Amino acid sequence: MKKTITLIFVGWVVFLFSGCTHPQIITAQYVDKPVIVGPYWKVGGKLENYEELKKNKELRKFNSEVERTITTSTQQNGSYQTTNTQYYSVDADNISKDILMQNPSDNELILIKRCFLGSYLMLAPGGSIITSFGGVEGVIAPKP
Amino acid sequence: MKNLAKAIVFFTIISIFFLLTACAGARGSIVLKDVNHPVSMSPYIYDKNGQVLSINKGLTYNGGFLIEKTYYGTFYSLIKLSGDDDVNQQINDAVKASNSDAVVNLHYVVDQGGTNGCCPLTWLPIWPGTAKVFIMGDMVKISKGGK
Repeated sequence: MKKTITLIFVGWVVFLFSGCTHPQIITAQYVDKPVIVGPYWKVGGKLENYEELKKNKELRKFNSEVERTITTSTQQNGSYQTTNTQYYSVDADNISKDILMQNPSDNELILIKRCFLGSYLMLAPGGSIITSFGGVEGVIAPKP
Repeated sequence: MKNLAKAIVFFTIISIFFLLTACAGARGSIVLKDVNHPVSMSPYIYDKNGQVLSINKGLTYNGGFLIEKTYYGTFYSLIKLSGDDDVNQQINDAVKASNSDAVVNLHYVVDQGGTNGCCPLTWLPIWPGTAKVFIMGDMVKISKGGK
């Protein structure tokens, strides 16, 4: 009994610290203009109305999200059990694409309001869902 | 009979939570409202005159930074337990230490935290879910002779 409890505890600790890696990168590296995060829009230049710009409803907004998901499900066929695995992902390059789709001109700034992220793991006897996601919310604002 | 009805309602609510949210996880944001330098998610940044610069075209690469942060959440990731803006100071310190002018190529990687895999504890609503985040960027300085 003592050995069993020890084994379960050790297994649990290993599981706790190993985790399931399933990373998702969030980047806007293919945008050919500065993608500003924060109140400084240029070297030595601060947007004094940064918070107002973020709340301005008249500006063009964009919201882009990417994710990676693995879904597994088990199926019992007589004495055989099969595990089905499905992958689903929205490529990280989509963020750059979504920003460029806004077609910002040279007189406009690409301003990121918020970078969001998350990950969750659903484990149940019938299967699992592992997801990591992230993205950006922003506006196209006129240059000061 | 009353207890059975209560149990059914309870398990229905829990099931809806499972379906709508997740068993264990966390979500959060990165908000850089207190950074002291320009930060860009692309390889480009504006100089003092508003001209677009990039590494080797007006900017000198000064090194990179890596910030690791764990976001915590509970009640199937519905409730956020981590703040959004504590990364600001770490970026400011890194830029100051390297004597840089700006940050380009800011990007981050989101991954599962270790506590998300602790089934069946993850079925408990109070179990803390985690999301591990690695925030990276290139620190740059305007090249000599630049504006």
